[in-house]
Amino acid sequence: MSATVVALLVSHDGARWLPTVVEGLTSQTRPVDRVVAVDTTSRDESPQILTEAFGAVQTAPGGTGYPAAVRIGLEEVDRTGGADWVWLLHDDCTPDPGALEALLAAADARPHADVLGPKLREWPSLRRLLELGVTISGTGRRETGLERGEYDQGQHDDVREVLAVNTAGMLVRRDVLARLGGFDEQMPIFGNDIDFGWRASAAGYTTLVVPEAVVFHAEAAHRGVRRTPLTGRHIHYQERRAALYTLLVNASTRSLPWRVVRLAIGTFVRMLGLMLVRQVGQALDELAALVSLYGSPRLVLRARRERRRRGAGTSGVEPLLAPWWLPYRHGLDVVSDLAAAATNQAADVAERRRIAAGKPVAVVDEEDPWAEEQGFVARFLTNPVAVGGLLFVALALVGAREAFGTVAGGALSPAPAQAADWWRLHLESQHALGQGTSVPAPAYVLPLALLGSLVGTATTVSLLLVLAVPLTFWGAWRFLRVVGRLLDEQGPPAWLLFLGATTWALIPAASGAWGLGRLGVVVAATVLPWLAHAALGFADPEPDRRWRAGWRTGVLLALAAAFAPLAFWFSLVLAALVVGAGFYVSSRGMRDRSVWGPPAVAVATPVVLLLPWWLPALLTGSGAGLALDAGRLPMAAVDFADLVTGHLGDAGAPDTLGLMLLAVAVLALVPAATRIPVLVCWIVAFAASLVAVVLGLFTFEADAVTTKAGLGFLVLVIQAGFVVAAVVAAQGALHRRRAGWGRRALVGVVLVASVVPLVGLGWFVVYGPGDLEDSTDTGIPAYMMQSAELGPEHGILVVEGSADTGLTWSVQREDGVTLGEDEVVGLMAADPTLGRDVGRLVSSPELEAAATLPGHGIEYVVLPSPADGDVAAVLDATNGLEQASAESRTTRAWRVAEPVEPGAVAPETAWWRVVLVVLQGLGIVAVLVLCAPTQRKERR
Amino acid sequence: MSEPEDTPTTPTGGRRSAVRRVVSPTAVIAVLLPLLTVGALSLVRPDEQPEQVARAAEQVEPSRTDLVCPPGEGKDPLDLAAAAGSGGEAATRVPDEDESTPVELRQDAVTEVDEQDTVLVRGTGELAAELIGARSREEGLASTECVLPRPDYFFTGVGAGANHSSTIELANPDQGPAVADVTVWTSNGPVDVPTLRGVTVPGGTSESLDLSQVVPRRGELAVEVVVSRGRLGATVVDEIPEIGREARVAGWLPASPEPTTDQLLLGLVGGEGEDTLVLSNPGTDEARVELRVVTEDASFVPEGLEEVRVRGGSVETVTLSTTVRDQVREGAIGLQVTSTGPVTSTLRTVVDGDLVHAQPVSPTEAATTALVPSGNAHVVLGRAGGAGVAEVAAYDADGKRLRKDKVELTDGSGAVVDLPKGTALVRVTPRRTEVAASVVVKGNGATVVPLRPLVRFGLVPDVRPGLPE
Repeated sequence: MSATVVALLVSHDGARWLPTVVEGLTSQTRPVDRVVAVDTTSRDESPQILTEAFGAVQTAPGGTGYPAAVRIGLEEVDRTGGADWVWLLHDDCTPDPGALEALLAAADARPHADVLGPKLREWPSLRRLLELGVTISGTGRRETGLERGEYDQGQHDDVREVLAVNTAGMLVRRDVLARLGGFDEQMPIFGNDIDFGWRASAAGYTTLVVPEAVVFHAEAAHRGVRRTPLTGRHIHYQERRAALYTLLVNASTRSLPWRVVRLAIGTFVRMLGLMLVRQVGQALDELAALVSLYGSPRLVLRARRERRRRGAGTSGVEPLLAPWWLPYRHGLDVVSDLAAAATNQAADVAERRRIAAGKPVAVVDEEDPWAEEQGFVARFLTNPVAVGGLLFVALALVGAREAFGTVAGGALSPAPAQAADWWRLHLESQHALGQGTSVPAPAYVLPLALLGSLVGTATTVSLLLVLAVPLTFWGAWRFLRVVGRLLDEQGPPAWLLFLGATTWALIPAASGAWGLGRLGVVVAATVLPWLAHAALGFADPEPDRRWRAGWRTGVLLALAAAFAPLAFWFSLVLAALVVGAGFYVSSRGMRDRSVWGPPAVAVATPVVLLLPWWLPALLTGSGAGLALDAGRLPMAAVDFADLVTGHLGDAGAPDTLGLMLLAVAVLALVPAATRIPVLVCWIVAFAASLVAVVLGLFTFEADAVTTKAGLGFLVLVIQAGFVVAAVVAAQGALHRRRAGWGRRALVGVVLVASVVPLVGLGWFVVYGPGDLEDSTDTGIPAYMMQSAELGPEHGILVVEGSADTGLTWSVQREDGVTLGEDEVVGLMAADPTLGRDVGRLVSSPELEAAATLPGHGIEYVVLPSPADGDVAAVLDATNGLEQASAESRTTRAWRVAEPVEPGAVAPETAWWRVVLVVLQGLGIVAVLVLCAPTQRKERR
Repeated sequence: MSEPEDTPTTPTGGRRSAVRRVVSPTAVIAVLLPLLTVGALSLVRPDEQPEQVARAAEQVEPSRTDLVCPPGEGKDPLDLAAAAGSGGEAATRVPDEDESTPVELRQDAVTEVDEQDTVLVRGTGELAAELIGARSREEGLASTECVLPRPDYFFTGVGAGANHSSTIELANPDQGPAVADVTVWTSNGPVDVPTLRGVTVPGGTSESLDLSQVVPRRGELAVEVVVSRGRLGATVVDEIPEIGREARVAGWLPASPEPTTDQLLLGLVGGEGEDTLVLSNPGTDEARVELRVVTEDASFVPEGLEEVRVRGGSVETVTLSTTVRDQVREGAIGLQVTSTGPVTSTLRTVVDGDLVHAQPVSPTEAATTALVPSGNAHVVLGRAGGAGVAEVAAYDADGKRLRKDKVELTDGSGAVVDLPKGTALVRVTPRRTEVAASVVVKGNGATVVPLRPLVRFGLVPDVRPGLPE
């Protein structure tokens, strides 16, 4: 005797799919015995379609959930003669003709099976797998065990036991459904299938998935195609609430407290993640779902009692739940997806422009046809560019040898002992430097503090210097490749990219910035190609991507400007020139907000993000810091020849290399085909030269030092512009493939140009260390430095020079001047009272100036080697100073006899500083969120 | 890359008939932009970056002066004076004692202090600029000035043997300790003497270094005392012990000026005796030294006086006995020492059983002063720097001027001016010229006292804020 099967079809506004569903249902090879249709007050013609197909339709109110609709349907089933099996169907799922037959066959083969589910495939694609049974992870995620968009190739076609099957196409024994009390009406739309499956397993029933049975499912509610009064706009809320509810009501009593805590924490982590990808609505849905359940514990407790009453155990469930590590793997996947999306944001701007313009996209055959047959190593070694790149990076690391480990010297002060020192410097409104100063810490202290907290302070500096050339090389390679593809679909040949990228990567070294220890210029140089790469996104055809490019450029510009403030002034001038030129060429096109907006955002971002630096700097009269390179003052004097040949003062590789680059950049203007892009490079150089001229007019006079502006960044930009111009022109000339003397001239120029990176690299390998050393000798005895670290009031007065040429004084406190404090110390106002007292101290022992020193927070007086004998004689004769020892015989030192006054000099953190820093932190997070790639709403 | 079709002009008409060639705007920009860029860069002129100019210390009136006076032997008086000033109260103190004794000084008057130990004299206020002092001895006439503490002293012609021994007296006028390094040179080069490295003199005390004990050896030596910590006054007591019939001779060896290539040892004492010139070359290269005899109006190399070679880092002794003795009778007033490298020199004469040191003096435009021990004294002027006048004023112990002479000088000339009896202080004031001067005193023996300018100032260094290293 064959079992009775009643199909129970629930519909709500499903007229789009119902004709197909009806067709699928009626064309079953094993026809259903009856069809009970329940309509929850559709506003379309669903009821008519159903009535035409199956006769009478049960009608439920509009707000009826799926469980309630099923209950109503079951009542109708029972009223019309009952059934052995109930086949649940949705209005957006249509069964394959053999579906029911396969399900029943499986039920016959496995008599213990109580619930059976088909293989769900995507509708309308019909090929992609949706579900083959589902389970739930510890975080409430619905787990199908399938890859996203996996095609059905029969790879999962084994009948197996699962925790639950989707209600779309579920074949369930009528008595089991009754004994389990149907579906839980707390979950009107989503998640009730998992809960049901869990309860079934807990009660000892078996759920099977039968892949031979196929049902196509449109997932209308999940995808938001269908809105019901029950889901509203908050599908995510309903899904999460169902997931949390399922876990809370079905979990064993033992594991419940842990689940409560875990789900709460998990919710906040997910919220944070969703906020970071700008899914604020979903984040709020998460929170609402949690609050809705945690706010009504009685609901959960009642549901748990109900399950206990029905005799639910937990024995059979555990193996069917998702493994514990699955959520973490998903987290990792999400992060890596995001990272990949973020790094590739601008990479294919050239292709997108071409697609947008309706031009063909070149299929670049980068893969060697032999590639598959060769190993990675063989492929690598037979690729000359790859080997060249490896060799280049290796030699660059040799050149950077001095930066491994601790490094200081030249313009680079030693790093402080801990990242906490950098944080403190960033937070303080009044630093215990000199006699106390409110000059703000330079902007680059924050990125240093962030990196330093992860890897340590010395390693931070070391990393920045060691990786400068390799990272610039990488960035330049990416940038030049995209630029080349913007020009023509083939892009530049790899060897030309290599030549350009190596030349660019050597700029920070060859300019002398590296050897001089101008860390700010070096870091800005490293950021520069990435910044330029991000700025290429302004040319993207999609407005959303242009905005993302704007924020991304803004962040990178803020980073560059933090290390080299001139980057901001330069970008301002360049933006004005480019946007101005844009309006000149196409004023209508530029009027679009998404065209001029992103560059404006990029230029405005540093202004906001660097607020805690530039605002107090202007207010404390140390605005000169807005035009200086990071590091010790004064700046290297950069003149016309240096700017043209790419040098910082007298440092760096031979001038000839810079002149050759300049000559190539001028020659690059000759080919008419690539003249426009080459002119753009020259506009960049012109913008840099305008900034150099204006800032070159200023001389900044602080009490302790007089300096010109730091033009290091501009030197780099001009050189980089020349490199890009040369690569662009070479690419254009190469692709025209002409013969004769023109070709020979081109080869000649390229050969000459390749001398630049070759000699530059050789120079760096030999003369790389420059002024850098493992450590610097301050000339102050070590025991004094130790005493100074007891507190800021244990200052050391250092008097240098001789009576013949004049003396300079400075005060060392705590760990001396460390990286980040140079600008503060250089720009702060000297205390005139202490200046007068020092003058009295070194002039005559009779003036008793030593008595004032404890009040100035000074414990020791040092005349570093070579100490002036006349001055030393005066100090020797002074009452209140006791001679102190020094390692070097030519260094003289005294201890102030009176004990130091505690609190003579103390740091302060004012409320407004905290406000500024908090605003800065929020701004950084907000901008980072805004530059993250837009996530398409994806199926889970 | 300079193909013809790539030049900044583009053909507009047919290939042959295109007479008019229109210059494309990009070509114009392509020419202008590099010119503008390079032109703009050429305006960057950091050469005008102002260098921090070196600013020398301002010289002001000193506010405090410490003098260190060498010890005496029983009854050697210590004379103090306020030269050319208003006078004031000086404080004298003996090392190791806390109490100081006030001494009232009047203008140009000489006040005698009866203290045979090393004496530390401190003058403050106006007195700081004018305080001078000297220790003298009547028997075997000798006189030596009190020294201002300074970082570097040279003593040439010290002895550390049985027939000539010297003792270095180091006195520290300050509260804190002072450290000195003593370097010893012999005729064979420098000697490493560990005990003379880092000699520490505690504050307010003095230390004696008997060279015959510390570094016993024969021959003439030279020493350099470098004060590396604190301040020290260094003086040397010289002694030639009684040997056979020769009586013991003792005195003070004055410090030599810093090594130089040209020096004038002014003031030769007549009489029977022996002249020993000790030359020391602290440098590394050999110095060739030429000796000339200086008279009132000429200088010459006497017959038999040959060039002396002094090896680097060594001491050379030249015995001049007859050569100079003869010339003194002929009117020689000094000895000029010219060398190819910087050397120090001392002329030691034993005249009539008394030890006399002639020291180098330099011509100066400033007024020079010296305290004169009692005896027959005359001022020797030498090496005038041009035509002019030197005023020689003599004062007695009460500060009363006894006489004032005007001496006409011509370029390179010298003069001898006798001083009246009872002269205790002499001042030479050059007008429109510069001149070097010494006082030669004869009495119960003889001594030569150099006249030193009383240029004494405090330094107020230019002090400005700087950047820490």
